[in-house]
Amino acid sequence: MSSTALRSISISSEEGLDGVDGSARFSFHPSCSALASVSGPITARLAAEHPARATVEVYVRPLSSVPGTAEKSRGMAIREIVERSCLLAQHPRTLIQVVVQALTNPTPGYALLAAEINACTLALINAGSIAMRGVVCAVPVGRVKKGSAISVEVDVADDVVLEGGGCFAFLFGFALSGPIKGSAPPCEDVWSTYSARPGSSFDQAELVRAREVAREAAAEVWQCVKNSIRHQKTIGETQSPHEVDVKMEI
Amino acid sequence: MSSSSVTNSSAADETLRAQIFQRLHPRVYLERFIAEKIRPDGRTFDEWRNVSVNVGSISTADGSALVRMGDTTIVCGVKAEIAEPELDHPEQGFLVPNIDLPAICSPKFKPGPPTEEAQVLSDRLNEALVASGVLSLSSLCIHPGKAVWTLYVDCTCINYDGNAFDAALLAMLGALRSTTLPKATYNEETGRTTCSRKTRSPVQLTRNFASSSFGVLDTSHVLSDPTAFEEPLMDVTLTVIVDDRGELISTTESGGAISEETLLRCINRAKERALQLKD
Repeated sequence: MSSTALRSISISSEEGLDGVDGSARFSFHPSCSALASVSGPITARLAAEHPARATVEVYVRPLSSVPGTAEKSRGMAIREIVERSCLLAQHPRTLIQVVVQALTNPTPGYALLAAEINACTLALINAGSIAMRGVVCAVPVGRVKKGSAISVEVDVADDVVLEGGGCFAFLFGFALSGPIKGSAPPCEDVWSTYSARPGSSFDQAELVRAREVAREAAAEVWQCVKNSIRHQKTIGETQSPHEVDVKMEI
Repeated sequence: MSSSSVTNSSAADETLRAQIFQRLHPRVYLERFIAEKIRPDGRTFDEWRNVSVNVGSISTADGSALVRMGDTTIVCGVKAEIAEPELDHPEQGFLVPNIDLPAICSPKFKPGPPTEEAQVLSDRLNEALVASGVLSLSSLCIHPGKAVWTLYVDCTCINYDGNAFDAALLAMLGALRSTTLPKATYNEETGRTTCSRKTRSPVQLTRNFASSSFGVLDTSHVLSDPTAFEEPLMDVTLTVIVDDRGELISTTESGGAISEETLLRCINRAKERALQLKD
């Protein structure tokens, strides 16, 4: 059920932005895509410096018009997620600057936010300069009527019929405690929001179900993230490990 | 006499030492209280601060409310303006909520443009009010395609002691409930809208809801309605919005894993709180 929605995930860190330490692009669907860049650890402003850990600043930019309160709110959510997933104490008095650019228009649902969170995770991995406790994968979920099935909703066209939905972000890491399901490591929740649209409402059973659906979908996103790392080239390499394998077969 | 002055000064010394300890090691200070099953302001973990709502105090606004949640004080005013509707939605009015956290309310806010905290709060209040459909925007229509009401719901925090979201939502709902709009008629020939000075009718709210915020410390201690001292020390913060029928409208959780029973407990407490606040 969820694999069909996640079939069109596309990840790329090939182009690589020049002025930053790491960057990546993540999209669930051509209508839901985000680009994130990470620079860090770099010098922090004296006023923003923290003596025991790194400071995290997140800037979210929409596709069109100036950033508003909605972008500030998404920025704060991403900042809390980055602070929880990175080991900030290893880089005191520095700054980790994350800039997220939305590449598609915002929707009433949370698909764009989930794409932005995943793009940040990939950019942090691409930078490689900040140690992380785990990899954060986020998925948007939604349902049509109260009591109907909850599924991963990434297509903007489907968004209009949704009467409830949310976004769940999970931290995946082999060092965490918990069951290992399939190939994905144990995960813990790191951020979530779930709300009903006008005229609708939900109960706690639905919230629990939504979390479970999101957990399974996030494990699939984790697998996509892992597969994409194989295709990445590091600085100085002309061929990625994937291309080397293909050539060897001949 | 001298002995009582000695005891007075040693009591004052102890208070000073406690205050210094609170400033230097806030988390340890809080944990010492938590170990005794009490909070620094004397409340139990489940207790909510006293709420007082004063509606209609600002006569120059179309609707107003003053909410005091413990020491957190929020003033909200509603002003109505006539505007042209959007081309895509010719029968819908506008509801524009906003909150400001000026420097007067707390030393942590400096004068200048709205801080990140104020912007995030504004966005969350916008989601809670507009996205949940508390007010039917088509009820604000005066003449389709030509004139609609725009309601500016502005909150200002006068004193910040934590949990501004719950207090601001309460203030906004209270102000909207007390809002009256003059009867407006649109004249097609002249293209102008005339408002009656005498007839005013209240705004129609479709649902009523209340929000409850919790903070979780060390995955097991759940504190309701955190104060400004407790808020930054919480590991996980959770906000639950419940409507008057006891159904959930939205939950937002940030910071980490909370067990399912903790989540359920918080939801139940939020439902009780919504019933409490209804009165």
